[in-house]
Parts: sequence; structure tokens; C-alpha cells
Amino acid sequence: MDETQTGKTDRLEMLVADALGGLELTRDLAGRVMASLPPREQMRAALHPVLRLCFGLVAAHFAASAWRTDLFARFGASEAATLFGTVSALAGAALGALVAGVALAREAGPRAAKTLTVLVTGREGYALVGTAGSAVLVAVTWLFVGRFPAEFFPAGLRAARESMAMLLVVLVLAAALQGALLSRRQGSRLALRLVEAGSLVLVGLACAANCFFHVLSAYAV
Amino acid sequence: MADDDARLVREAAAGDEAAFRTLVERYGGMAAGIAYSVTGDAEAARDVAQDAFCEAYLSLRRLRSAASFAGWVAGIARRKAVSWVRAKARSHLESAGGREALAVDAAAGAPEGDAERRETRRRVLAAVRGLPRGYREVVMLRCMEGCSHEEIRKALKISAAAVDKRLTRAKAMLREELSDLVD
Repeated sequence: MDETQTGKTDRLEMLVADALGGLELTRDLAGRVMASLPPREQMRAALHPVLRLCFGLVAAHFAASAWRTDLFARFGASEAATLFGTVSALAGAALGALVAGVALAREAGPRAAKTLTVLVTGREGYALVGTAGSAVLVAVTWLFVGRFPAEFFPAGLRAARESMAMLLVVLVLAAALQGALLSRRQGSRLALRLVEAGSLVLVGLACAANCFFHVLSAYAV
Repeated sequence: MADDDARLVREAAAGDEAAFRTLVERYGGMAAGIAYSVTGDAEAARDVAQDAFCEAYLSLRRLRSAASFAGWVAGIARRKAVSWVRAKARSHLESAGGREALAVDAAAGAPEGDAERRETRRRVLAAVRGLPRGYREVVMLRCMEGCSHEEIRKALKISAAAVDKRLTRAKAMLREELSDLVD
């Protein structure tokens, strides 16, 4: 490349640099990024035990379902109930293995297990997944309670279905709010933290309620 | 630089926001430049870069080699920029939006009354916009950020020969388009 050509190249680069510089692409970028960072380490450190408790309760929920299967079979309940119990037991076993795997893989383990951990406990989205999952759980239980003959359940349990419907609505709203905040990632960090903390408490309540209902219904058979 | 990046990434992953801010200041221009080369819209490029760094912050622990932060965040910015373009196309707002944005951007950057300079900027940006995307990216990194060939190679994850080829061809195309300004 001769001197003239080099000079032209330099001039071209200067022209382009000047034009692109005028765009001010990095104007206050660092400030914007830092202001929009969602809470991460603090949240996980503070709420991780709660999350573990929630998973434990979910596993207990399915274990209770499996136990009820045994009771259904023993007392000659309908085939449908037995089928439900069998599916529930299988799901319980799968979920139990999953929870155990996730717990073990958190600190060390093969890459696939770590990926699974990320998917299940999900970084910043874990509360969203948990909340949405709980909403599904509550919905299934709600439908279940309404579907089976009254003699399977005490009267109080059937009445509690109304409360579960309320809980379901709250869970769905919380999941929607979380989704909106996480997708924007520009909401107030305090608001996001509060919603996540609140959602995790709801997840725990939903799971505890499920366990309670299952144990009650098992005794009612 | 790579060793320093690795240290900053480790500190940021441990929760040090000041370290992450340093990374943003160091590579913000690169991410925004790549985003602009895809979107052709300065405001969208800023948003995409912001979003890319947020995602990077949340995924720092997944970064296998801390020293390769620049290439990694560049990849995130490019992916998000492509998503932005697709979303825009889906919402039927594609019609010449990028070119309009370029005209507005060029005008906004120049001082009031400096018509000639504004016109030059508009033409240069239009010429850059007219380059194929792969060429645009190397031009953005080279001219806006002053990146060396090696830095461009790492950021775009392409070979040194590809960097040379793209840069040479891009400059040839720009020289042809802007011959009256360069000569």
C-alpha cells in the first residue's frame, strides 16, 4: 500500500470514526447498565434456604400422593383414583430424583447436571419458574378436589377449595408480575426483590397447603 | 488486557459491581457498535448493549474462560440485536426504519448550523449502513473503537484472514462510495 493509499485509508477511517462517534452509542451506557442490573447474589444468598424448603415441600407433596395411592388400593377405591395415584407416584419418584440431583449438582457435578440446575432453579428466573409451577400444582389439586366423590374428602377440605382458588389467582398474578419485571429488567431492584421474596413465600405456602390437603384426604378415605 | 479481564470477571462474578462497571466501560462501545451494525438504529443499539450486559452479569459464572469476556459479550449483543431486528420485522415496522434512524442520528450528532458536516456524516453512515453485515461489524470495531485486528478477531470469533479480508473489502466499498470525501 503506497503513501497515498495509506493516507486515503486513514482519512476514510477518520471520517467513519467521526460519523459513528456522533451517534454517541455509549452515552451513559455504564450508568444505565448498572442501574438496571437485577438483584442476583444477594437474593440467592438470602433466599436459598427458602428455595430448598420449597423443593422439599414439593417432593413431600408427591410422596403424600404416592402414600394415598397405597390407601386407595387398600380400601378398594375407584380405578380412576388408583390410576391418578400411580401417575402421581411415578411423578413423585421422578421429581424426588430430580430434586436430589439438583441439590447434589449445585456445587459440583457434570455439566449436564449443572445445566439442569440452571433450568430448574433457574438463575434470576427461578422464582418465576417456582411460582408458575406452584400455580399449576394448586390448579391440579383444585381440579382434583372438585372431581372426586364427596366421601373421599372431609367437608372442610371441600370448602377449602375456595381458598385454593384465591391462592391460585395470587400465584398467577405473581408469576405474571415477575415475568414482566424480568423481561424488562429495568424495574426497580427493590420492587423486583420484594416480588421475588413474596413469590417464594407463596410457593412455600402453596406446597405446604398441597401436602396438608393430601394428608387430610388420605385420612378421609 | 486478557488477564485483567479475567480478574475483573472473577470479581464481578463474586458480586463486585465496580469491577463489572469497569468491564462495561471497557467493552460498552464494542457491544453497542456491534448492535448498531445489526440494527442500524442508535437508540436500539444502546438498549441492546444495555440488555446484553445485564444478561452477561447474570451469566458470568457460566463463562468458561474469564479472559474471553469480550468475545462472549459481543456474541450476546449480536444475538440480541438480531432478535430486535426480527421483532421489529414481525411488528411490521421494518419499512425503512433503520435508514430513517440513521438520518436522525447523523443530524443529532452534529452541532447546530454545521450543515456540511451533518451532510458528510449522513453520507458516511448511509455508506456504512450499505455494507454487508459482516463488513459493517469490522468497520464499527475498527473505526469506532479503534480495535486492533487481533481484538476484532477475538470479538467476532473469526480468523485473522477473515478480519483482513472483510476490512479490506469494506474499506474498498466505502472508498468507492465516498470517493469525493476521501480523495
